[in-house]
Amino acid sequence: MTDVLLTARDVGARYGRRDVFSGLTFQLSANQTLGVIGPNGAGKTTLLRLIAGLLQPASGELRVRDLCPGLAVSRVNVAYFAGDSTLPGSVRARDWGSLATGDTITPERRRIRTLSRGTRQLLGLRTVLSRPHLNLVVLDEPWEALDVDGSRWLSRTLEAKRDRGAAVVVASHDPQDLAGVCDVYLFLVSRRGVLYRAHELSAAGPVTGALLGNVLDRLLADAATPLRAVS
Amino acid sequence: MLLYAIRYFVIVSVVPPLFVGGFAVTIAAAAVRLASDATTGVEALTPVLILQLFVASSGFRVPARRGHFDLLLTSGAFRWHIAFAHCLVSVAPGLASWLCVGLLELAASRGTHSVSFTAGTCVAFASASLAAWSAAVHSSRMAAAVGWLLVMSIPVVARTVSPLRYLGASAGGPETASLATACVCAIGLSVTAFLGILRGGTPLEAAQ
Repeated sequence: MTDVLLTARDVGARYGRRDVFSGLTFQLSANQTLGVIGPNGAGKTTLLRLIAGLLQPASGELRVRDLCPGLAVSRVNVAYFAGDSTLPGSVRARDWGSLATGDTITPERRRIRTLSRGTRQLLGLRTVLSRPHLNLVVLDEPWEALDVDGSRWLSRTLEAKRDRGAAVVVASHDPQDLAGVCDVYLFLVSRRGVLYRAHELSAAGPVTGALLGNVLDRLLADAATPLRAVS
Repeated sequence: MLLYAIRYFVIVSVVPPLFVGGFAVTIAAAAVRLASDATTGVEALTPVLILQLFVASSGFRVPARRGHFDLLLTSGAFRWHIAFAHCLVSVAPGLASWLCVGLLELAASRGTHSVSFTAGTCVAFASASLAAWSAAVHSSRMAAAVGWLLVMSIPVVARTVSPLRYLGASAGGPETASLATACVCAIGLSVTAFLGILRGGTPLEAAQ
């Protein structure tokens, strides 16, 4: 029996009168990785913030271990990071790194704003991923600005967290980032989501970046067709 | 988790070191003034209270929307712990400075004269701290500062709203009803601000 950690039923999000997306339905079990792919502005960050309990859905139901995400964060260990731009620049790197567990994860004393973008990204990722016994890992464009070593470390760490029972949700606008690392892919295009299991995309072998790119292009073209007809 | 939330807001510098330095300057100025005349407690407390209006207006929603509090908001800490810790860290430097000036006043007058701990002064500091923090929860420090400058600089508004007029007032005096109203307003504002933090979503600025 699979241990379902995350359940979304007909979930929609809205900012004021603007619909971001609607009708998202999916499940994610422990030991699984969900990749969220979509162009800029498709609602990837919004979906991840819904999952992390930082926003409430405008419609539908989102559950983390049968609790609404806002409540679940106090019972389920969550790691959430939305990119280096969300780090407060005036804080010293060493102090920030100690906020997850109290342990020092970097001796760097400089303020965050003075670090390079990749170093900031790595600091943010290392801080949230150093939390112990993670059940849910939610990362928004985590490979952004990382060098080769950083990317390799991140991929290995995500794999290790997943193998230890965490459900992982990662979003990216670049299909190359998510190639081969996810069990389920959610394409966010034109305010709707299309879900594919990895084996549905490629029965023969690992899912490649080119394959994900082709699927995304096809979905974008399909979404644009009715608009062209109207105009 | 409350201690973690307090530590988080201290590290994130909800009250920047510059403002803490400002309080140190006002305490030093108060010490000089009280040393020469121990009956000038109201004048010594005035800059502390004015600075508190600006410092306690630390703002919650704006840094939260920039993602600065994501690590805390997803740490499992209860939202009311987060709200309380944010309020405490925002108002603590001003309240500590008030306490220092009060002790200086008692020391300067050898315990014979104190306006620092009258009911009016207590209400002035408590209501100013809570009202300033609450007013800024949904806005930025800059917006709150502009608001306070308007309050202090328009005479009609200042006479009605400014907490400065409570400094040194006693509980049995003509200001009693006004003191009670200030308390009720400050409590009402802070309850609203707490509920805003408890129930409000935190969309990322860049994602909207």
